[in-house]
Amino acid sequence: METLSLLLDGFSVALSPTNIMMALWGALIGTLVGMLPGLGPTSTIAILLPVTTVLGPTEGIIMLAGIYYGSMYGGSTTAILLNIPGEVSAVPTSLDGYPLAKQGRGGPALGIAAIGSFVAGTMGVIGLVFFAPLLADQALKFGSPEYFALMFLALTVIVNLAGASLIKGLIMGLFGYLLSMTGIGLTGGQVRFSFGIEPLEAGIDIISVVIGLFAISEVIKGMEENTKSIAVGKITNIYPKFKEIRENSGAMFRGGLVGFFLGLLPGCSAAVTTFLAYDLEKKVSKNPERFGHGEMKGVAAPEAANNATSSSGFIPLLALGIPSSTTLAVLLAGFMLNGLTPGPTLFEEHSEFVWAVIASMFVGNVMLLVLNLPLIGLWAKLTKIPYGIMGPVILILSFVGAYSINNSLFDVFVAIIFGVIGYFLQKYRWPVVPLLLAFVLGPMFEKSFIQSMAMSKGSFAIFFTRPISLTILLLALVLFVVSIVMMKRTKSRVKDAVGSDVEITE
Amino acid sequence: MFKQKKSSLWKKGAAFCLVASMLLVSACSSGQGQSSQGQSEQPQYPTRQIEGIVPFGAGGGTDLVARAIATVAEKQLGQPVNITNKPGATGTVGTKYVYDKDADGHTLLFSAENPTVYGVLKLSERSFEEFYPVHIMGRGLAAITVHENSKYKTMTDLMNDVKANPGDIKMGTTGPGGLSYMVTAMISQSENAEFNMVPYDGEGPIVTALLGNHIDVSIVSLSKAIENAKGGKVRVLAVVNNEKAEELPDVPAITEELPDMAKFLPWGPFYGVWVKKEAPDHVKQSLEKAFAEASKDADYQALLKNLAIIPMGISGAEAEKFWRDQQSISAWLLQDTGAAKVSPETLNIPRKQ
Amino acid sequence: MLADRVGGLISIIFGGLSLYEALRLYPTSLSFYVGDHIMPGVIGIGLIVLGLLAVFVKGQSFKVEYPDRQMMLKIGGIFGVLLGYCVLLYYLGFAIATFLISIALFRIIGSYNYRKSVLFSAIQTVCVYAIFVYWLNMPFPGGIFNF
Repeated sequence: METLSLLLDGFSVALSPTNIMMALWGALIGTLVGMLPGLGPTSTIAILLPVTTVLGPTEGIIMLAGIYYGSMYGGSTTAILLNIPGEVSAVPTSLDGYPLAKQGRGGPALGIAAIGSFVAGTMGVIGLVFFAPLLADQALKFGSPEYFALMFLALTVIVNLAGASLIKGLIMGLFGYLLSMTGIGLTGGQVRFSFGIEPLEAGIDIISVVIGLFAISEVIKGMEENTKSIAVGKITNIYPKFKEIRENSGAMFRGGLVGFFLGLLPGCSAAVTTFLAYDLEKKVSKNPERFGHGEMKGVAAPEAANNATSSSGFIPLLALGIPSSTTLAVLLAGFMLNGLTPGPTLFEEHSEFVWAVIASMFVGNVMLLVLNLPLIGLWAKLTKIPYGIMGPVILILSFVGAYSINNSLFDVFVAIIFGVIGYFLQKYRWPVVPLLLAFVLGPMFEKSFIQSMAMSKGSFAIFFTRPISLTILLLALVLFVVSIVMMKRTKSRVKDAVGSDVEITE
Repeated sequence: MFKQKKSSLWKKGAAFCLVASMLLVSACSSGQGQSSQGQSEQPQYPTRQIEGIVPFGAGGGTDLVARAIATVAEKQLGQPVNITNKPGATGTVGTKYVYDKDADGHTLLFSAENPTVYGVLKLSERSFEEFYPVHIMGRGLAAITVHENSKYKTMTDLMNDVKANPGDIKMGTTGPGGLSYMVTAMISQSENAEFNMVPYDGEGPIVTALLGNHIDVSIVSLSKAIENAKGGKVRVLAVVNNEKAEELPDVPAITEELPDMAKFLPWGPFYGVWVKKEAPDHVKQSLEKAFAEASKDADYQALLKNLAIIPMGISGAEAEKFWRDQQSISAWLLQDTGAAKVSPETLNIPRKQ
Repeated sequence: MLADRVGGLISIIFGGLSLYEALRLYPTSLSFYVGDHIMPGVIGIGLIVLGLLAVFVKGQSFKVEYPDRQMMLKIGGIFGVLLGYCVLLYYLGFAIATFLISIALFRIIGSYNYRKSVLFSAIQTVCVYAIFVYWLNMPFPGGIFNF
């Protein structure tokens, strides 16, 4: 088979000592920047772009790609251990990862995250190898009405994340939408919700909201509860047991599939796919009430989805020149600076380069695993550091992280405000996760709706006459009903078990 | 002067600083009295690293060109040029950021053409009027693009259909002031045509929608369309220019089919390096020289070619005239379509004849 | 429960604000559904409806406990210190501001004595400076000492 021989040629390039080093460097740098809040792969790749012109195209792109998927993994470390999701895509991981870390099982959680990332990342690359051009064309069938339907489906997740009160969850969701609309309007270019405050015209950045609602209010909470260290009690074991890996393989696989297929759609970022993977896992689970309190599957699924999405994002990028996320857009810039333009002609004109990069992604995923498994012990020990030291460190990192978004103090200010808001929301049990999810979905929801309406000249029929859109909408309806039924059932089951009403998801 | 020199040492780390201050102390106490004579003879520039602001997102056209030329120019200048993206609000955020910095040439603006319409669209008070054009790198072309299987084979096909079904042809556009909005306005004005405008938030999503055949036609920069055009996924009906594009010899210039468009041309996106206009003359000269020299770099020229950007490499008065002409076309076009919030007249922008 | 009703009222206020923006933006739109006004309108109505529900529906009731006065002062202090960081960063530059603020945070959160707090802060400042300023070249304000 031709593809296979091309791939083998790619391996012969990717396995040269220099290129292995490049993949290793990339994975290492990526893991590090992924761990630092605020500072994501986007800015790192941008900073390192000029380096690639010195290194030569293949070496440079191998390193940049390594940073990209390395950071996807690195983000999970701080999300699990410190409840600081560096990116929105790591929020679902923190929902169960942080409770696990508190129980002293941070090590196994990191191990499962690493293995899940590896499995799904490899699945993604295999998909990339064999189906790239075919899948790219399928992804293009998604026009605005289909995206609108998809966003509608993602909305049903809010119902599941709402916790005890559906009304409160929905209000928080709408509030998230409202926040996401601040700044220049997406389709008409009008300034919205700025009320004459100049920095607001550029909009609110979600990372500062995440840092405020999670990291800052978490420190306050920890202080209030007089926490001695993050993990209470002894750390039982550092690595996941084989049994745990086997139990979670299903979750990894499902998460990987969700991440891979949705990740093909340009604009459907890891922030969306991880939430959907988490939700799916909760729906198929026999014990949905355990989610949010330290369920390993709640770590495995979104982590797998995260890495599968980052691999499958390469398909529209390489085959059509369409970047599905801002990070990939910067990576695209890296291609261009080296005189390579992704698009239909890339596979023909520079096949050696393309296959070397693809092969290096296999190598890089192995590197990540080899690199991170031994480090887990070290990271897990972080949770035993006294909170009196951890707290200030988290706050300073949050501050710097928020500053680094746009190098402006305004984003820091926003983070602090949301720290205060988050504190009170927690007290009065208003769930913050729907707010974040809606914030992420908001822009896509609005764009796809307005574009569809412009296409159909104001007729809603456009959503029901296109087969893909109709199918997704029906699916959304089914999932919505399932969610409501499940919520009732879970509530009564928890009531039976505990004897009183308790919060299901915080 | 002295303070800045010292500060750059500080940056190297505490050890350096310690050594430096010790040297300083010993120099003073030895009583040699080396007064600061001769320090102001030859003004030095640059004395520290230069911050290059791209007011758009990383990975965009402006960002790419900026990074490519900055890597070469820093060798000429002898200090690093660090490119930072400050995106937001059509580039007004980053532009204002540079405006708020000192006019000492250590903060540069790498911008596309957008500030030319800040005034009429009432987006910001800080536009190119406040800056001096160090180097205009080049200009891009707009391309009228359809899906590979589209029924429109030529511009004439498209125009006939638009006139037969006014308001039915789905045209993907970016907001007022954007490339497709402007060119659509030109066509509508000279040909009396009406499209169904479907708004997108960037050229990337427009190309995606074109490839998926969700819109009938759009106007994007040639850089965005060229790779898919070569790969046969989209068809370029015409380039918006009075000459054909070198990269696509089979595609006609729009003036061949719509001669009335000539009055708006040449017009299109352009990319430049700017410094605050209050900067001292010797700074402007050093920068002009460095960037002019840098633009000869082969890798950089290759990138421009790859992006289908026509190299210009002009500066000073010539560049000033160029952007003011572009501004006049854009501003009056927006005024004529009713999108302008402030009349170009009140902003003293003359109508180009 | 009262707190939920207050939350509902806040939701209605934001809903009203959103509707106001929608009406303000309506003249700039291309048609009823196409323009920057439509989503603020939809969200505004949604917030008002859900806000009314929150006001009138009897929700789940639970007890909200606040910590003692001293702890509340500490919590308020942390937010104050963080806001102070913004100001100090601007005037004193990254290194000095981080050092001073860290001391305050170690004192408040960890209740360490001054000697330990200064030691920890020094270590923290050096690490953060090395990563963000030296290695990643992040442009922080230099402050009056340009350091």
